[in-house]
Amino acid sequence: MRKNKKNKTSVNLQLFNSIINSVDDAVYSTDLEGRVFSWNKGAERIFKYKKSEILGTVFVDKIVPEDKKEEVLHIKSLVKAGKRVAPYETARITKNKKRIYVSVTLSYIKNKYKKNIGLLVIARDITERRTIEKERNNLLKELNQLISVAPVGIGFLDENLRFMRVNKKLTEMDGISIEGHLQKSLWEVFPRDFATKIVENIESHYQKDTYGFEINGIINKKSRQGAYWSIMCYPVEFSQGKTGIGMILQDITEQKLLEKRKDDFLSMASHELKTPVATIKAFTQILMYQKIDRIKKRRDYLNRISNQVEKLTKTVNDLLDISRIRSGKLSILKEKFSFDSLVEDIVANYNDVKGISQKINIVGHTDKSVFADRDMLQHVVNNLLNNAIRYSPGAKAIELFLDSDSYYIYFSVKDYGVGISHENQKRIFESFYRVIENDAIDYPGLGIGLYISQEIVKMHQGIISLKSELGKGSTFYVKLPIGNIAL
Amino acid sequence: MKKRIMAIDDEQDILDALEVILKASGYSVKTYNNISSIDEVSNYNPDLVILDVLLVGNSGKVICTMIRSNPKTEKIPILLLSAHPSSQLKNITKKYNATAFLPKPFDLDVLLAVVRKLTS
Repeated sequence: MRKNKKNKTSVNLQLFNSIINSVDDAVYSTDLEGRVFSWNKGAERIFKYKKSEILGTVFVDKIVPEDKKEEVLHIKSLVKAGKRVAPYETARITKNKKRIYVSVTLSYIKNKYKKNIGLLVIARDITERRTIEKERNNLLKELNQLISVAPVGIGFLDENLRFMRVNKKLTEMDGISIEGHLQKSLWEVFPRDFATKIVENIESHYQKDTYGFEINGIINKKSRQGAYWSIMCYPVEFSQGKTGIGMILQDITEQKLLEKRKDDFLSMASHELKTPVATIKAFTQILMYQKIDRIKKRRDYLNRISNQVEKLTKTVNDLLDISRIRSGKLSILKEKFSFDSLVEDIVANYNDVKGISQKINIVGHTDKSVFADRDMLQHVVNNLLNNAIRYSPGAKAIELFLDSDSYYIYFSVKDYGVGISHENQKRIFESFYRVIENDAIDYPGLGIGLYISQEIVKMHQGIISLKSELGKGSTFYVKLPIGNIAL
Repeated sequence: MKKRIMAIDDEQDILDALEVILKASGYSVKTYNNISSIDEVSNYNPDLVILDVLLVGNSGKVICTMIRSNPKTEKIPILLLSAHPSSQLKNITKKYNATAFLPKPFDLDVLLAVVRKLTS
């Protein structure tokens, strides 16, 4: 009977040992001082110590890294007091000095008097999980940083189109704080029209795909400033299987305006090319099909054709100039010449032209020879005078002021015309920018004259600027260095 | 009696060419770089106004509206000329209630055919 019981106990022990050895986790036991007295296969695999190497040694000396020794001391104090130790995660070190992460569960081993005599330790290797978690956390951190500094507005909406999260840029766009968005619907945050446009687009798309659309409208209730927006939506999955929408908003107003300016430019370029062609064609046909006896008349018509060909050439040259400036190929050819004579010649030509209501008056003189590209400066003076004439219809005069000091010549062109609003003054030197102060008044032109003039002045290390008042007129100022070998 | 045509264009050369062509075809022509008052139209009372749509200052569009909104001039046919693309010109013609349009550059025979039709 006793033998039978002994046999049964031995079978149970064997079974227990084989179970313990078959688990993936490290299972080992220690006395209350931490000396190891059992060590399963899992422990050998995880910590790389053979059972024979570790039995009888204190585990702290073998598998606890320096920075975790204090933690062990703390747990030891709990154990000594017989307190329950909750499962915890910590780092351990293997025989080959590799740092690993484990989750540890401790339970007391009691003797037959129910006194604690040791600890059963189950340690699960969570290194891989920790690495993945760490990588995921790093990735999330990076993503969060990216979202917060992104130059586009980003918002996450739940399925009821309420904001769950927004980035800083969106708060700048709509003028509402991050907290002001949370749990609020699109309609509560954005102006109603703007929200409705977004919702209409969201509803018209298949929810499982990423889709983009463009709308124009006002996003900011306070500033009420309209803009063009490119919006991209994509489905997102939140925790607990909840779905929603990620929304990226980008202000594309500048891009749209640039596109429009380029379209306007092309349309104007074709207009500027066709207008002289119309005159050339008309007079050519008159000469071809109509009987014109007087040589003087014929010469007059040919003269007009010739003038228009010149105008056409000028437009084509402007177009070529802008293309050269843009590709950095406009080269400068300096010579010494009297600036006053150049201006006098140009103005004399203008004052002879029929059909111009304004008389151009030269006020002052520079008395200087400059070392510069004559053709280019001629272009600048012509451009400023052309603009003055074009934008002061009906005015009687245009003033051209000349002055100089030891280093610079100064000239300015003053008209008494329509003037330029403050908003337009900021952009007037941009390429393709044409001022239209009033819808009813549209002035022909390519919108490249001032851009080219500014580039020329810059190439001469000069400065061009303006003062203007709507309805009163404009003055353009140019300051040019006299040049290296000026006399 | 000669049909009267009023031509308004800021391009003096085109205006002169129109005058030569139309006079040679038997029309009475008055040319203007611009007009500031509807009286200039109603006083002359032309059979046709030829108008460049992109005039500096008081644009062709304003003149068009002015002619159409005055009982004395509202029925005068208006032929719009412009170097704008045809599609644009077509829209402007419709929007401002002009009668016909002709893109620049134009052929003399086409111009004369249109003028003949509009003044008949």
